[in-house]
Amino acid sequence: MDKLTKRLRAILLENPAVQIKELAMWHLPVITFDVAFYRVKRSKMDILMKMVLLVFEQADIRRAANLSEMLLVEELFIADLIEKMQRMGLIRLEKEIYKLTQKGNEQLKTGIIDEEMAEEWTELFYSPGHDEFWPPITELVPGTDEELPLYRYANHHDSIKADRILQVLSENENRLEENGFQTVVADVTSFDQRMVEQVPCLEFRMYNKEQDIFYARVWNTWLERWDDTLETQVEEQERVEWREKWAAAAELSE
Amino acid sequence: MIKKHMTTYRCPVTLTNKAKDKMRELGLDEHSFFSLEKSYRVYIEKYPQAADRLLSAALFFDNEANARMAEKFSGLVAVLHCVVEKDRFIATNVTTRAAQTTVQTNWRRPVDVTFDLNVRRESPVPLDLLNLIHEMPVAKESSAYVKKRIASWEGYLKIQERYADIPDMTTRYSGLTFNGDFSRVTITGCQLGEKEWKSLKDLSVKLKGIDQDIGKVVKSNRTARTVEVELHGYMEERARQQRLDVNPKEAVFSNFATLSQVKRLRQGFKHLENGLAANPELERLLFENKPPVRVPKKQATPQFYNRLNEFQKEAVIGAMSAEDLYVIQGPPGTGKTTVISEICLQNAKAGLRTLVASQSNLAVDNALGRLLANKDIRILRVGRTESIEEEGKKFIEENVGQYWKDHTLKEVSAQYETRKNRIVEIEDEWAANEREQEKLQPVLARVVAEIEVKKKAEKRVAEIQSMIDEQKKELHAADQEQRTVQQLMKEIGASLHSLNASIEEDETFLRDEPDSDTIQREWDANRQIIQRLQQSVACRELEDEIDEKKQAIEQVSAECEKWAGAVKQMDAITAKVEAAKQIDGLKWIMLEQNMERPFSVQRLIQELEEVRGEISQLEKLKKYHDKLNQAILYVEQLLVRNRISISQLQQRVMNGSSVYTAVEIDQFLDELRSKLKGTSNIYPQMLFPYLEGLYRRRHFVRKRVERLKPYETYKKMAQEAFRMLKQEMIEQLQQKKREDTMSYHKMLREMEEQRTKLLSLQNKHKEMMASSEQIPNAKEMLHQKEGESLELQNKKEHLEQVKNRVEINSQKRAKETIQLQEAEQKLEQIEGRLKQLHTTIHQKEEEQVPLNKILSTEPEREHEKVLKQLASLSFTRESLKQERQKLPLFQSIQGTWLSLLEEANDHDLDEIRKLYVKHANVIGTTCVASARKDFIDSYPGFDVVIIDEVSKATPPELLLPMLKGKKIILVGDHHQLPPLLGNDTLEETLQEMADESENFEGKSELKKLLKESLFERLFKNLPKSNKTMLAIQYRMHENIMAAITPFYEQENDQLRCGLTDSDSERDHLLESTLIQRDNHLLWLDMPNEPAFFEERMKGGKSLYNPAELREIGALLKELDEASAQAKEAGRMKADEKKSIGVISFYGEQVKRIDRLIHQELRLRHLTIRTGTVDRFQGMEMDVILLSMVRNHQNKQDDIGFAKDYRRLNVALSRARELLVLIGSTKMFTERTKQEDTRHMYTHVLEAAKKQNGLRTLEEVKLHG
Repeated sequence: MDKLTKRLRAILLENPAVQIKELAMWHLPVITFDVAFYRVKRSKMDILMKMVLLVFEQADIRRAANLSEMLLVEELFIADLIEKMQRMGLIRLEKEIYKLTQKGNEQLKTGIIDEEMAEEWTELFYSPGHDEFWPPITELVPGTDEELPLYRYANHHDSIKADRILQVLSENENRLEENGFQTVVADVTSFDQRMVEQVPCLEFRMYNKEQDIFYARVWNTWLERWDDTLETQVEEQERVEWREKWAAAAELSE
Repeated sequence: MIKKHMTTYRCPVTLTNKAKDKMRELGLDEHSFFSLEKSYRVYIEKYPQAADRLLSAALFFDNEANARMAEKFSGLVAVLHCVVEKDRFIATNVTTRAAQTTVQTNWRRPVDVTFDLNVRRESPVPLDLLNLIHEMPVAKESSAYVKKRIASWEGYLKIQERYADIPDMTTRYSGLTFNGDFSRVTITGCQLGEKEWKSLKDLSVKLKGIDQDIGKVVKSNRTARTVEVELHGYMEERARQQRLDVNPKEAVFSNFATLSQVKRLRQGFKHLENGLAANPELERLLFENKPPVRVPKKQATPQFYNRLNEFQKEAVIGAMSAEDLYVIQGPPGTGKTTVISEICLQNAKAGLRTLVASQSNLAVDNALGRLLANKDIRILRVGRTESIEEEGKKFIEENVGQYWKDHTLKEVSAQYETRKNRIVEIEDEWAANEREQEKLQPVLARVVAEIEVKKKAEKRVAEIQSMIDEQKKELHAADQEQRTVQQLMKEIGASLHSLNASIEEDETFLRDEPDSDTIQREWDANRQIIQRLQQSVACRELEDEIDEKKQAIEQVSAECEKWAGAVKQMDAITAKVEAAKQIDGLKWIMLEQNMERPFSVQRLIQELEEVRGEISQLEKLKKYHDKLNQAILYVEQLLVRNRISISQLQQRVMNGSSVYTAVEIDQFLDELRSKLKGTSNIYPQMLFPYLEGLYRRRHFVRKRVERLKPYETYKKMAQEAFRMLKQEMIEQLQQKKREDTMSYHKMLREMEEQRTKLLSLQNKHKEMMASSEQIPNAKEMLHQKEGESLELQNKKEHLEQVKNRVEINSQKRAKETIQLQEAEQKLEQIEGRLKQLHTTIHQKEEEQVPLNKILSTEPEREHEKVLKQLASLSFTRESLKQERQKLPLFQSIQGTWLSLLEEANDHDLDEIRKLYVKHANVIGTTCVASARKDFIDSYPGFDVVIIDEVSKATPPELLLPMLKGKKIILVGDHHQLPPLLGNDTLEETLQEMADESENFEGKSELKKLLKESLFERLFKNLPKSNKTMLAIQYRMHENIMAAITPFYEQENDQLRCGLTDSDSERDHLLESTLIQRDNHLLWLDMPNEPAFFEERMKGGKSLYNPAELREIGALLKELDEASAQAKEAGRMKADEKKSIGVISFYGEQVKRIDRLIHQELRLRHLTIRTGTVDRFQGMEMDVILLSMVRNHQNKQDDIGFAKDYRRLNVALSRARELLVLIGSTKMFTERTKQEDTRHMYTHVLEAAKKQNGLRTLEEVKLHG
């Protein structure tokens, strides 16, 4: 940790105009969720085509306009799609009504049938301070000897709901398979808040004497970057006070 | 672009040897070349014509349409250079162009041609093709036109090219230090050449090991060897991760971005020159003083999807109707974007593809963000993702699938929800419908019955009416008859009356007058008297006649005697004539007797006169001859005496022929005589001439005598003539005498006759005297008696007439009396009949009254109404039925659709994204990006190009999107700021350039363009049909608007406020010591004193004002507190923040304001944006604080950028609710040099004063 501090300090002080007025260390709570979910395997057929096939199966459609009215989809899209499906031999006109061909029927069946896959488990990491889910950590968070205080502006967001989890999982876990299939997260079976990870952060309170400005630099060890969210939070709350404090001190020392 | 069917021309062609060789070089002989395609699609370009050259043209062989040729030539474009003759094309050369060469341009004409190497006389080059070539423009001339005109835009490029030819610079560096928010990085330890340091500004920066540019150079410090770079937003993340500082530490500064931008702008010029604009008239629209716009097509008012005011509607309709160019001027807050949105939607509905372009990404995103979400409109934002604002992000290609899904999901679920409720509604409506129908049934039955009754009544009424009519007709006839009879009776009565009177009168007459016999007798007596009187009268008349006769006889006998006398006289005269010896005697007689002188007589008299003349002349000559002879003799004697011969002289004289008058001869003789007498001594020689004169004269006299006849002859002639005259006269007299004798005899006979007549009359009288008496006054009496007789005759006739009349009248009277009786009877009958008829009619009419009452009701109307209601009910019912039938299907399909949409993932949407992009019909990008190659490839042309914020773009920038549109719609406001170049205004740049080099060409052109922009010129010069000013603004409180209205006073329409209630709609909700709720325009006056003066950056040119900075800080605090209070008072929501813009004319001031806000103020209830006025154009905020900076007492100096009314207009028009100016009123309204500028600021000050909005610093201090 000291090493890191040293390195960061060096980087910051590369600019001769800046001073580090103060350094603080604290930890940021990050919640770990245990999530159980399952995925389904389904055809890659896109939803509009699927829908169009479904409608052709259920109703008598003569023109793209009818479909456009039902689905509230641009007539041009539908006309394009109908042409494509005719070309692919999925549909044909019978007595001026679009009907599914054998092939079309088969495709539709595979398209609407989801093959459920076995349940899976994973971990998700959530920072309430950022209201963000973070990727798993690649390197070990450097340890500290001392007990660090909690981040002073850590606010507790509303509890996380399943659909938020589902959304995050979909982004992470949806896959395109070969042979025209995709696997899609279908449902979150359960999620439990397992533990709260303590992520150490280094806060440098900076002063640029050339420009007469105060600012904060906060290194987030989980993300391994200067964390603008945290910096802004700190600056918004404290910057004016810093000026009062150190400007006054400077005046005194002069 | 043009894909319509074209006729294929057969065209004979021959090649010169050179062309043949060239063709062979390309690997084909001409026969195989021309037979590659059945017909070639070629583009003809006409060469300039010259008097000494044949018409010539280049044929560009399209490498797309001519697939086989393209394949053979691996895509190259073949060009045949030809001389055009009537019977053939002669190819003089063959060349090729690169594959990507544009074949189709506005200067070329496409034709399909089948080439024929056989030139035959009977089939020359088709006339149409020749005409086409003759009439097409010459490419070079068109290009030259563009080149010439576009030269005036060169200046813009010159500015941008200033440092363009800078080679890339690479340097090692020692480190990177970032600023507070990672928006800038300072590269330290750079190692650059001296020149290089100077040209760093604005170059893009790359670091080795980082694939993208990290940013742009803002500042460089050679002594510190640092370069300050403004980082691109997308670099922040990497910077925060410390991932920018990578080995090897090497930075590259390059001008590539600027260069490629300038290149694109240049390419725009080139495209216009080469006729590659989608609108073939573009160059003329841009450069002609009167842009030759086509007359807009009239279009019906469309259905609008946005709420538009009258001006916005006019703009939309105008833009839709315009054929080529439409210009919309939009002052601040007038809803330009709404208009653009509406036009895009209308275009989309009409199946047109629209490009929305603007100078800045922000403006493009703003415009796209405000477009209505409608399924007919498919928006696509094209450009570098990192430079696209949040508003536009959802329209970039990777997001449109999501955008489409969100929009569709919203629409479908809205319909789905509505339909859910609809199920219940339908049932309710159905039931209500049925109830309504049931209710109407009995009404219908009643009305039908009523109609039946009415029909019957109608029939009955008609029957009665026809009866009445008949009766009335009879009545009328009877009436007529009655009147006739009455008339007749009246007439007979009158007739009888007059008859009676007449008869009575006549009878009285007959009674009183004598009868006819008496009258007859009287008449007869009278007749006898008349006879007697007549005889007596006749006798008297005869006597008178006899007297007359006697007198006549006397007259005749007197005449007789006269004639006898005349005869005797004639005899006497004749004797006198015969006795006459002298002509004069005869003449006297003629005169005396007044005798006629016929021609013969006259001639004779004349002859006698002539003879007498000749004789007298002869005598005179003779006398002179004698005289001369005497003299000659005398002289001759004298000479002879002196023995002088005279014979010679005589001889000589014979030959002379002088003429002499008598007087002259006398004188001559007198002279001679006096000579002879006067001198005693006479010399013969002296006499010689006299003798000669004498001889001569004698000779003359002799000659004259010779010409006359001898005297005897004249005498005879005279005697003869005299005798003949006498004879003539006697004859005449004899004649007269004969006539007189005849008259005498005639009178004698006359007398005899008269005498005989007298005798017979006398006899007759004798007889009459015997038979009748002599009555005195017989004539008068006869007259009287005849009158009496006539009277008697009349009387008798009258009597007879009266008698007859009495008889006739009596008969007539009897007859008429009978007629009268008959008429009376008839009248009685008629009266009876009339009475009966009246009674009948009355009865019938009585019968009609109740029926008419029935007729006056109108059950039909009600019937119709009821039927209509029923029809509409059953229609509703039918549609309800259909809806009820269809609804479950719709609902189930949309249900499925909803669930599919909801769980749609990126992959699902991929297909839709492709469809969306393919059918995108509103594409948004920046002007410059519209010239990127990939963009041109994907979107070669647009039906409509809309360019927003036109006044902020330079003409070369505008040209790029303009090239792509068949129709161009420009939206802007020339009363706002002109383009920025980089971070500087054009004026600043110009100034800078002027400082650098005096002779910068194009400077004057640029200055002109600065004064009147392209947009302004177009707006002013276009016809009314092609432009609109949006004159209703919705942004500013009307009190704020008051500050800028003068800027629009010159326009046709005044700027108006469209807010219905400014006070409530633009309430800033704040109350503080300085600001009241009803304050919307404030001017915080800074004293024009040194403590408040502007200051200049050390070594910089930008100005700032510390005093104003302090005031702004205080003001912001006050606003923050006021917001907090407003929240406490419940006027503002707890989580709401006031949006405040702090702007200034000067960049340095803005920087300092920024620092102030971030470093020294903590404003929890405000969101603040800062910027220069120029940067703020297009933005709006609830509250605007304007720091005016300029404040000094330097007489040489002025107020700099603040002079430009456009800048002031922008500054004043950003605020919605509250505008606060912070600056010296004295400086701006009094110290400013130009009158216009003073006037402009005075108006603002007056407006503020009027609204009680002027705050002096004392007040501020007092309150603060």
